Amino acid sequence: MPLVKTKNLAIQLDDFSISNVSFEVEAGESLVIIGPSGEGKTVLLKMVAGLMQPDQGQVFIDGLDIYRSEPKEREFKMLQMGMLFQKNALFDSLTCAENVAFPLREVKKMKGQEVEDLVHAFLEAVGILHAKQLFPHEISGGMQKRLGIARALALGPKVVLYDDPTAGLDPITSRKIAQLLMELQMKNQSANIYVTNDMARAYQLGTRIAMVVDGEFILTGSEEETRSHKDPRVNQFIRGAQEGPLTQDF
Amino acid sequence: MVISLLSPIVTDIGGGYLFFKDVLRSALKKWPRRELVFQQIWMVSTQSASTTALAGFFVGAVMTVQFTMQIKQFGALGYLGGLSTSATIREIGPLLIAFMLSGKVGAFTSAELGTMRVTEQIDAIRCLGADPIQEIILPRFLGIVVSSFFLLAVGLFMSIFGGLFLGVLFAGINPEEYLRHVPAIVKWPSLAIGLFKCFTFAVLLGGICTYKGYTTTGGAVGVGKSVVNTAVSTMVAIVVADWITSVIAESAGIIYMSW
Repeated sequence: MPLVKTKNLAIQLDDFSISNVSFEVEAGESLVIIGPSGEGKTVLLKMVAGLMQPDQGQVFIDGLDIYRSEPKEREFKMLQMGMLFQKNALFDSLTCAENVAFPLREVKKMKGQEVEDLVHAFLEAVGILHAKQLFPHEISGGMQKRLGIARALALGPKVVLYDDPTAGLDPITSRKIAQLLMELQMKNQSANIYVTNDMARAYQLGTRIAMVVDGEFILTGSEEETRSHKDPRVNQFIRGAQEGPLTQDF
Repeated sequence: MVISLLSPIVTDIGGGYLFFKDVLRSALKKWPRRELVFQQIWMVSTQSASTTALAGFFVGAVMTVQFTMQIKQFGALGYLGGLSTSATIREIGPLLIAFMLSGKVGAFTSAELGTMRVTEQIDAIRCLGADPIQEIILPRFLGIVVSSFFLLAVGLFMSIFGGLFLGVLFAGINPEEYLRHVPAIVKWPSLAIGLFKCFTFAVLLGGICTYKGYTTTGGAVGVGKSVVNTAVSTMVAIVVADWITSVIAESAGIIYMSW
């Protein structure tokens, strides 16, 4: 059974709409969603995360339809999901350690040394143990990303959603972060969904790639399949070409 | 025209009602962690104590100056302290302190929650399996309500002191004379009315600023709009609530007197 499954998801917002989004992601597998800005990639991720109710369709997490289930059952299932937000969404009034400790204390009701040990382990795993007592605004963008990853993984989720995990990072840090995400996935055997516009990272991270464009969800397949995809929009986007169907309105 | 003017107000009242219901339901289901509530009480109280004290002092002073001008011609200066203190406790004290809290605590809370909303921190709380109402709304709401009583006490004490100070300075009345009629005029019902008003204003203030902050959309501009909306809505709501509570207090007073 796939850990994530969406069936005919559709949503209509003020400036765009998406329809017929159906995909499945198994444990240990990664789906990377690419597409021009403002086409609804983040909205799609938020629908999967249970943060934005779709107008139509279903989202199954580990077999449970999250929008049509009992609140208690849903809450329990949602604990199996972690999310890294585009701008990290770190709690700015808490230190790095407290950010990671938050879900452990508030959700898992852990206390004392147990929390401290886990926080230590997570911060060490993402390489920012030295920044433990600093506040998010006191650390660099790359470190904030790492902290966001540590917090997203604190509850040991089976499904992890990453919204532009390498946005705003230099190519070296970006590659390091992608490598870290792959290592963590290998270790946890989670089902990962990424949203990114960085094609190098998309190929590095994704088992499969999909594109959101003009309200459509196009599952383009593996790196090779994506590179040789027949849709001219996919072709223009992955090449970053200025001329083509995506830019004909400009 | 009228419909387009009324539409956002009705939407706000409806949205606020549903939000408040959610907050109450959440409070009844599970009480927020004590340390989070105490943290908010401490923060609101320390943030506003000095300005409330200062405002209270001048409220009392203004009331004394106004009453002095009125009652001097009747030769009833002995009643100055009682009248000034009664008016401050029953009406002007809670009202002005609520206005001040609205400008300071209301705007701060709304901006803080609004920023948390637009930077997706509230979504992150939900995504981590916690309830944002429990984690950030209830502690702030309770913090504002509880602190208001403390701040009201500070404000009222300082307003009596301010009234006394100006009474001595402006009306040339001695302190014993000023305070002599206070117990005769300021009775328990006056204090009860003041506290009742304070509670009502605090609930309104806490409810409106958390609602406005929680429902912020649209980045930094959205946060700015939320803060302005909070200031305007709380002021209007407090004035309307003052009228309603005065009517209720008046009716209760008549019943009380008829006993």
